[in-house]
Amino acid sequence: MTRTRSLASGLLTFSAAAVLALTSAGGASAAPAPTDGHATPSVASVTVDAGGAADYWTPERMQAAVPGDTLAGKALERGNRSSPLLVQKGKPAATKGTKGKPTIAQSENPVSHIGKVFFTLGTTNYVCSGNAVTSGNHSTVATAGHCVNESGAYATNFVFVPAYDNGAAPYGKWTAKALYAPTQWVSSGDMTYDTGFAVVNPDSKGHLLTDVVGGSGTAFNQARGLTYTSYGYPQASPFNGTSLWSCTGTAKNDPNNPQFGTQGIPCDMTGGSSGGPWFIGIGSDGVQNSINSYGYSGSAVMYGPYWGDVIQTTFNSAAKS
Amino acid sequence: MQQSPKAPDPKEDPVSHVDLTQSPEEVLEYWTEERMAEAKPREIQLPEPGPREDGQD
Repeated sequence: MTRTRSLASGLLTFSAAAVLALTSAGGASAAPAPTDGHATPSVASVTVDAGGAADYWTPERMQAAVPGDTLAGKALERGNRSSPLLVQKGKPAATKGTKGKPTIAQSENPVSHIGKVFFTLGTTNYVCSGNAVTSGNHSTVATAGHCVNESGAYATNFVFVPAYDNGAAPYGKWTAKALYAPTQWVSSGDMTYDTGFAVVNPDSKGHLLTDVVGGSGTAFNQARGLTYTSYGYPQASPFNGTSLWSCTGTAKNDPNNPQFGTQGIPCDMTGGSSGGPWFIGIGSDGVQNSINSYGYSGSAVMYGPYWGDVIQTTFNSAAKS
Repeated sequence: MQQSPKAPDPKEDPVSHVDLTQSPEEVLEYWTEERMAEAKPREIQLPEPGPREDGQD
C-alpha cells in the first residue's frame, strides 16, 4: 500500500519512455545500424535534460499526446523486418530491483474533511494539516496549537484546503475568521494543550464548511491507550507534502516527558503533518480525539495531546462562535 | 517554545482567541501557488532522549 515516490533526477538516461518520445518526434531514429554480418551487438543512447522535459510537458501537450501502444505497434512492424542475425544469445544476466526506504506511514486517498492549512507567523509562511469537525457553526477546523499561535502571536493569512491533493483544491480554500487555542498554550507553550481551532468563513456562495465536506465527531476525556489512526500531509523528507498519509497504532504515554500527559503512536510522518487528526479506531470515519503534535529526533513516534476538559472548553468556544 | 506545564490559574479564562480582520479575498489573493509551494512545514521536534539509566523501565 505504501506509495514510493521518486524525486526527479537532474538527468534522465535513455529509456523505453524516451524511445517513445523520440520516435513520436522524428520517426524511427533508434534502429540498429546495419552490420557487416558479424552481428556485433549495438546500443544506442542519449542523455536527456530533465529540466527541459518538465517545461515541455504543458497540460495541452499531455492531453494531445499519442497513446504509447500506437507507437509500440509501429515498433513491432519494424522489428518484424529485422534480421535474425542481429539477435544474439549471451550469458543469462539479471539486476536486482531497488526500493525506496520504507515508511511506517501509509499513503492514502484524499479524505473530504481532512486537508492542509496554510498560514503566516511573523513574516514566514507555514503549512500544517487540519480536519473539519462537526460543530454548531458548521465551520470549525481542528489543528495544532502551534499551527495557530506561536509565543502568544496568532497566525494571519490562515486558510484550510480540504482534500488537498498535489496542488488541487477540490472543495476550495476556506479562510479563517477566528482562531482559538487554550490559554495555557498561548501564554506558556504548554505541550499539554497543543491544540487549536479555526472558524472559517462561508465560501463565495454562502455555503458552510461541514455542509460541503462533512465533519468528524469529536470526543473528550476518553480512556488512555486506545488505538488511533492519525492523518496528515508530511512535507519534510522523505515525504513531499503533495498527498495524504496515515499511521495506525495503540497509544502509549510519552516516557520522556510524562508531565505533558501526551500519548504516542508509531509514526514517521514529518513536518507538515502537524495538526492532522487522530481518530479513534481504524480509518477516517471515527471521532477525532487528538492531533499530530510533536516527535523526537531519531524516533518514529508521533505524540498527540490528551483531549480533556481544557481542550473541550476551547472547542466549545470555537464551535458556537 | 515548549515549556513544562503549570497549573492553570482558575481565575484565568482557559480559552484564548483572536478575531481576524482580513477579508477572505485578501487571504485568498495572498496564497499564490508559489507561496503555497514554498510554505515551510511547521513542526515541533524535541531533542532525542538520552540513554536511560539502569533501573528504569
